[in-house]
Amino acid sequence: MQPFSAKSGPATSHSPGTIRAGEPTSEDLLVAVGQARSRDAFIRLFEHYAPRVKSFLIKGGTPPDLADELAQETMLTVWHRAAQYDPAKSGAGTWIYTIARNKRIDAARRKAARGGAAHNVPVDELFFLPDADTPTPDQAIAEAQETHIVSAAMATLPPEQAEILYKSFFENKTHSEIAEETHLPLGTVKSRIRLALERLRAKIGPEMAP
Amino acid sequence: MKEICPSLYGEYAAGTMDEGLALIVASYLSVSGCPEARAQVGTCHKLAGTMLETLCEPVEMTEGSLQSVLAKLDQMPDPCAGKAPIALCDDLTLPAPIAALMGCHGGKLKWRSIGGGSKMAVLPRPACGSHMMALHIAPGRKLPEHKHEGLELTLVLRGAYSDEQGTYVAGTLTCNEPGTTHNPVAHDTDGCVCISAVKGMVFTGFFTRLLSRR
Repeated sequence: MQPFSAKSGPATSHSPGTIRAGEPTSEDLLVAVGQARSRDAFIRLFEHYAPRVKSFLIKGGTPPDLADELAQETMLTVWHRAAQYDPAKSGAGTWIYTIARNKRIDAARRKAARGGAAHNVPVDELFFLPDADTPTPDQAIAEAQETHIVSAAMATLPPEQAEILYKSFFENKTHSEIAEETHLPLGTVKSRIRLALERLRAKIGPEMAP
Repeated sequence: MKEICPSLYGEYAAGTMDEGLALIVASYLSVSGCPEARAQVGTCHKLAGTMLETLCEPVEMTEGSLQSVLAKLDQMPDPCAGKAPIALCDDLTLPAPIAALMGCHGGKLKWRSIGGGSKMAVLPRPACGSHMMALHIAPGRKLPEHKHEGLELTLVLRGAYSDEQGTYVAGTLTCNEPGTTHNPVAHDTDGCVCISAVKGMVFTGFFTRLLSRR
């Protein structure tokens, strides 16, 4: 479970499932998929991310079979949308997370649709990818090493804040559900999330402050 | 309480927010360009992306899954039907996320008069979320004082509205917590065009009558 290295040179060896220092970063691979339609780069991204996306979906309560299917759909969308990926705007993990999250929303909607009225707008049309954001040049520098920076910032959070963020982002729980589960008032859950996000923002991107 | 709690962006970015409310937030991000809101959502996405990289122990994919995906790479996904702009009123179009939703529903708003030159249109209900509505309130007209059981998000698209706590101009996202009561009045000369979602709200004849009462 090695966080990604910062930008580095081209690969000299192929190691399925992991990307190590000295090999292209995930960002490089995603650019290769988007710009050169490289199937090799896609295969490497698949080997790294599909099992993580599957794990993420299972943590959020998706049954393993469906999680497998959705992880495949996520990677297919990665292929189709990779041309829109800009490494100056987001890290590969962040970009792929938003696609995986959208697949999870889509799956919940398909389930709801079986019970009655619904629509069939692809969720990616409704919820933007991070590329819709318009970062400043300073921000772009921070993005390139985002995993390191965010990991370090997360490690400084008080455990009670980190736990709530984890339940929200990873266990797919609404703030009300978290309040019930932790026997905390909803206002406390919200304020812990607010405090955690403020702290992270101060560390991740002070240049983004208005 | 009008200030948007940053935890709201957390819920939006995590994908756990009611879809009607989330569509109002998505619309806000698409029309306002508010750097503060974008930065909040951006922080949440980075956080989640980092969790994906560092906290998710890989779970082995089923055999043949890679081959199955590779076989599909050359098939293009279905284009979305909802790309065309949809008129809200005059030259104002619906924000893109709502237009995408409308596009799959025939793409036309059905306005109903609510009296005094004001009108409302119920938007298609998202599969996993609350109803949304578009409101066009005539200059200087009031909506009846109302209270909501669930969180209300309103995005002002043209003109402005005021209530006990302040005035909200086009491009503003306002948030009314459950249980709060407010008494909105549209701007004296420009009126107010807005879209709104209330968590848990289901439109009934009662609500329509409530809106038309003055």
